[in-house]
Amino acid sequence: MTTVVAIGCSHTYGTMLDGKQSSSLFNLNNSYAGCLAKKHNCKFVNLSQPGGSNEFIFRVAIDWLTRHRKRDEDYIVLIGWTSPFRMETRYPEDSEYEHTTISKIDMKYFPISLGQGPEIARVKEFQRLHSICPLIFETTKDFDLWATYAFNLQQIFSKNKVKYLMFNTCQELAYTENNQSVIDSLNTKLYIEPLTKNENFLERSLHKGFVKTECWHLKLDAHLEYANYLSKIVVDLDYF
Amino acid sequence: MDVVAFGETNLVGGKRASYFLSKKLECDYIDCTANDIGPQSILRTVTKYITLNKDPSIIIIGWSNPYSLELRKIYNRTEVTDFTDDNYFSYSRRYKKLTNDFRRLKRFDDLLFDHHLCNNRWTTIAYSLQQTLASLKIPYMMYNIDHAIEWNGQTMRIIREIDRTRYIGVENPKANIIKYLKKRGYKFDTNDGQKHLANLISEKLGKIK
Repeated sequence: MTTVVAIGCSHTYGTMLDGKQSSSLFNLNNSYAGCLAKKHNCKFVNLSQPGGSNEFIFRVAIDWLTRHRKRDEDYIVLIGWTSPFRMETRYPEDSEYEHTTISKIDMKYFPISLGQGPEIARVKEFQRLHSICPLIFETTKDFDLWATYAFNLQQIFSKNKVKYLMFNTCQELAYTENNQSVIDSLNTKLYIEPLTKNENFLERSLHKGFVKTECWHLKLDAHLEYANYLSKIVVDLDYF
Repeated sequence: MDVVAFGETNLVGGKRASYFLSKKLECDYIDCTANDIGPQSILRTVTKYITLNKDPSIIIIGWSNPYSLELRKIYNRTEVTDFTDDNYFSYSRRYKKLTNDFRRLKRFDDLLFDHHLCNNRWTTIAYSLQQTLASLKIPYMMYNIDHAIEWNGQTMRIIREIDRTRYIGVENPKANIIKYLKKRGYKFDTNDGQKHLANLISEKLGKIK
């Protein structure tokens, strides 16, 4: 039996999918990736995290590949790239603090992103990190890194014969002074419209008339529609 | 065939081991090292290089400065006219050239350079680059200059997957190149030391062939 593995940010996690909760088992299991898995009668593992950065996605994909993947099993990995203006920090190993969300990943990691409320952090020191966001996040750097992560993950999945599909969930990738050759080398059969505005999960759904929540997330109806959209693509790719 | 060096200029670039290796192998030498860089910069620049250049090359990577965070200037940026973007820098505790606008970072050093965070990042990057270079059939060699990857619950699985025939040292703190050369009576910062390292790399590359 094939397992669908989903790695991404809150959109892939299913945040506010039920219209009520940021983080819940229902949301975690019923995001568009979960709906896709159900549609094709697959097992489902959701390794996403609300606030997860592209660095998080890259690290978790490598962690999954080296730690959790069983070489004799069949997988389809869905990578939902997110806003570039995010990064990872980590609560000290010997501290009691953990990031408060229901998840199947290392909970010591704490994501910070531009525009996120500081109160999400458990400790004052981490709350204050928001004051340096304008220094840490820089457009060219963050788009360079995103393209770098995407290219390397494509090479790694392809070398390890892992079936995968990449797409954007809330923003499109962009050219910078540095990353043109990297973006032009991406396999766009397996990365849906990396540069196209309105082709990411959020904007595509809004254009189709689905209603967003106050915190710019989508409900179950939009997730079901996106699952159908992805389903056609993975069937065309002969993944099932 | 070109020998292309990546890492911090003072430690890897100029007439260092990769240069002597290129002479030994009768190849051209391309110096893609830069000042004050860490693993994130190496991932970015190697990826840029291999997507820009299709000519056969041997990539040599010297890892240093793992407890760092790659940032880019906000003000007074220079135009990017060639391969290297001089607006990038790797901020670390020992970084001396911090401009006023970035001074605020200092108070967050403990959070930004957390051991687990930085080592997990470095291990992920090293493994990824190995996989990418192997996938593209590009010969390469990596070595640790002054650090070793920390073995912990998060890094151990990835470390086990690292190709040790192409990475000198990995998690062994006694096998960084400075200690390796010292044990054999060479100083890292001398031509003799660097030639000895070039011979070691050449020998290891030869064994893989």
